[in-house]
Amino acid sequence: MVPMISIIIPRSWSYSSEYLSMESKLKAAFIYNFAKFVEWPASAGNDTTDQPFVIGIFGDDRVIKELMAIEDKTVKGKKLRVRILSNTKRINGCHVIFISASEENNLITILNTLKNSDILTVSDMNNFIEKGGIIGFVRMENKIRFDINLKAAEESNLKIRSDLLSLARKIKH
Amino acid sequence: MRKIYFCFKKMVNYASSSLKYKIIGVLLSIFLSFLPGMVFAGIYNSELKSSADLTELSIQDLMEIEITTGSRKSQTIANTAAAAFVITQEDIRRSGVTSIAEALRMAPGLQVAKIDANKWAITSRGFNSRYANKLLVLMDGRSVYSSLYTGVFWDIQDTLLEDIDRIEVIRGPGAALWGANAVNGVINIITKNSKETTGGLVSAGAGKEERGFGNFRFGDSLGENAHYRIFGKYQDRDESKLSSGRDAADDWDIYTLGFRTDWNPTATDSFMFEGNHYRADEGQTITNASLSPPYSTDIDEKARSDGVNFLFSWERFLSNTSDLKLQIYYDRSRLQQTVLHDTRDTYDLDFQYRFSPWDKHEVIWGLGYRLTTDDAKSSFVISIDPDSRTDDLLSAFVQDDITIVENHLRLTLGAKIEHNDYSGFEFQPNIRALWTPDKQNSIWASFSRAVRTPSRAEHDARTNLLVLPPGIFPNTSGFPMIISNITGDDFDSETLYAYEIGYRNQISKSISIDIAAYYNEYENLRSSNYDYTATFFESSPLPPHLVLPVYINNDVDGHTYGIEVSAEWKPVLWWKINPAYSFSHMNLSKAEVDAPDTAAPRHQLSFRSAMDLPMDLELDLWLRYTDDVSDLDIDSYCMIDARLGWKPTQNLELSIVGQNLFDSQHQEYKEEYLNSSDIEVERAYYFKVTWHF
Repeated sequence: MVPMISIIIPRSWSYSSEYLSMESKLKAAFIYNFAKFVEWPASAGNDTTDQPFVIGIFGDDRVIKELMAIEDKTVKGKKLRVRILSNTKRINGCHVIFISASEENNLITILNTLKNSDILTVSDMNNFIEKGGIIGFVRMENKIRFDINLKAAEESNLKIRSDLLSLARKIKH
Repeated sequence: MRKIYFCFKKMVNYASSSLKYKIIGVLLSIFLSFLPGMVFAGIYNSELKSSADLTELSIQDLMEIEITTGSRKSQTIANTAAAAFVITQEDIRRSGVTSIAEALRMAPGLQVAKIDANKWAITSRGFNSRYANKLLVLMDGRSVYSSLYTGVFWDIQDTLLEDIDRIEVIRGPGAALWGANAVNGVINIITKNSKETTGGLVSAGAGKEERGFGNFRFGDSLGENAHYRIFGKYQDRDESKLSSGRDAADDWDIYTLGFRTDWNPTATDSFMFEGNHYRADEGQTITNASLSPPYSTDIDEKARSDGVNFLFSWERFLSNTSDLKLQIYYDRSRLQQTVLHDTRDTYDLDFQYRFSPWDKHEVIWGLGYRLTTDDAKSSFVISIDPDSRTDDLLSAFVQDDITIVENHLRLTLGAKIEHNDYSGFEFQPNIRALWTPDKQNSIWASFSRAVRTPSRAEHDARTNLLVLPPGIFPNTSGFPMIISNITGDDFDSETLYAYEIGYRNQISKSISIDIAAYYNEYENLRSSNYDYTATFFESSPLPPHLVLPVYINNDVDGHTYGIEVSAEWKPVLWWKINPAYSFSHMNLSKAEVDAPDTAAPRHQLSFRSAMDLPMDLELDLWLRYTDDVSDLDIDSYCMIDARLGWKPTQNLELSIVGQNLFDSQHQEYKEEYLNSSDIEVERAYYFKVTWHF
């Protein structure tokens, strides 16, 4: 018999575990999509396609889990790999680093290490771009928006395409 | 596949020959007329459910998706107008259980009793038996309720426990959606999507009772949007003890092999294909009756159960309020033992469609067709006539979920109508209401009618239970006398009218409580009536003998009532406590008639504690109390299980588990029919290593 137990009353029950982390899934999908609109300098390990495209994460197990679920997808012709970061030593080779809001206390240390490092930084903490990050998620009611710090991007030698810029809620020059 | 084709061809050919097939014809044409619209509507929608899907979307689309806040899971269980309980993967892992049957002890309202090393009696809300017939069980949507006997053979319901996502347990009728036999409960065992089981897993262990077991699984992606896993497991179990202290002859082993693939070719379609094969060799002692001296002998034998099944499903997401699902499965199960050989093939097709025709209404309807063919080889003890039979089961259901006051009051009306070859048409409606005055509290009530339909054995089998030697009381004649269970065409469905009520309270972030109470009224319950005056003479098989018939009828009515309370408390981040208490009381109308399958304990208590200790250690304790079962002369018992787990690295887990620690052996149940010896469950322990790579 097909009916999922969920429809004994609410359909959503069977998808509960998926709804649980809807926000994390969305953030993971955004991060994956951002990469398509950003150009890294040739020096950032982009010359060969056999090297993976690495997303590093400080904190937030759920976003890590969601990104791991889409490992093996390709970004710019490279296989996506997720790297869990607990200190700043393992950032070499990362293309994108997501810094969870829970890591706000370590933000200054992290950003200092990342200076001029060809790495796109993304975070969901408040005022991330004011603090020197490149893309910051902003929650608007029940939807996710993002701000972009163009100056910080340029300092990291990253080019952000105009179609992404046009979708940003606010841009800091 | 040819057989499936044949059955559909047959279905269409008969479509005008009888009322039943006229109905199939009508249902099919409704189905076909809806199908194109459903298939091509909503190819694209931005509200999607998994991350793999989401990454296919553009940033503009992502920006339009709304996030639902908080823990949706606890909200939705709180929003269920039924007595629902979920056993999670983490619950299974931390309980230390080594079978699905044992895991069910965690759910309130269920009565789980181990009869011997390879047999269980499991029921919901009373009427327990090895052949407990009022609980419907599904694995990934495939019914594992036996159509030969009633009930579920729990020994062969197996899969890699690590790959189970959750076990959903609903106490009370689910018949309006699930159909016949979902009388006192429905259990759905749901395995993980293969997307979540990539990588390898090897685990192995050994101990007392669990003589040795080994599991492996490997999963990977198949291109962009598809994943697969394969798994295998083997378990070798020791025999239990007779109450005398001697060893019983019930040691057994089982292997299971399986695979699952999931494919999402588009953002809105998901396909799933899975298959399993198992084989179990199970020791048992059966009382084999015969017409020559010594008339009744206990024989030890190895019974073999094996089977294979495949299930395919397709789900299409149409919109936030609409989707459809098509599912097809094939299941072959075979049982070979001295008293009966039976081979059974089931073909099942189900379809369901959900949509919102009007504001505040969410309608689901579905159609189902099932074909069962079997082949039985009879013995003197159990004879089945005819020895081969083909049965059809047709069903249709509809349910409307109506929002009366947004976020506060919901009403659900539903009914299932089905036709089976034993009792004809069955109508199973229900009505449910859910009131949620605020986010913390919810109150629900329901009324349902459900039926338990006759099984093949209840319709076509004669069981020669016992042969009384000549001249031994009450057989005063000079011939041997067989006491025979005789079934007949008039055996009808058992009927339930269920009244349920429940209350849930999320008292704080760390404490929640769930209370459910029921009053169940049963009609036409199965009875067996001895009638000395009906004793008759039979000359075949030789030698000539008398038969004292025990007729199977529907002569018992009655009611049950009970209450189930479960709670969860997390006093600190590293400690979780789950207490549960169940009470059930049964009152049947005709105590002088022997009504089988009625025994269940009145009081049950379960208390689980899961602690995360420093140094990556886990300590789990599980205390259970089960009241006596006076009908079967079984004493109450109190047992404790303990587990100590250690994860030295992310990939490695070591654990040691002790089970039933309070007593060296205790009895939980009895097999009623073919074996009357008192077999007891022993204290057990095992050591286990799990490695992920």
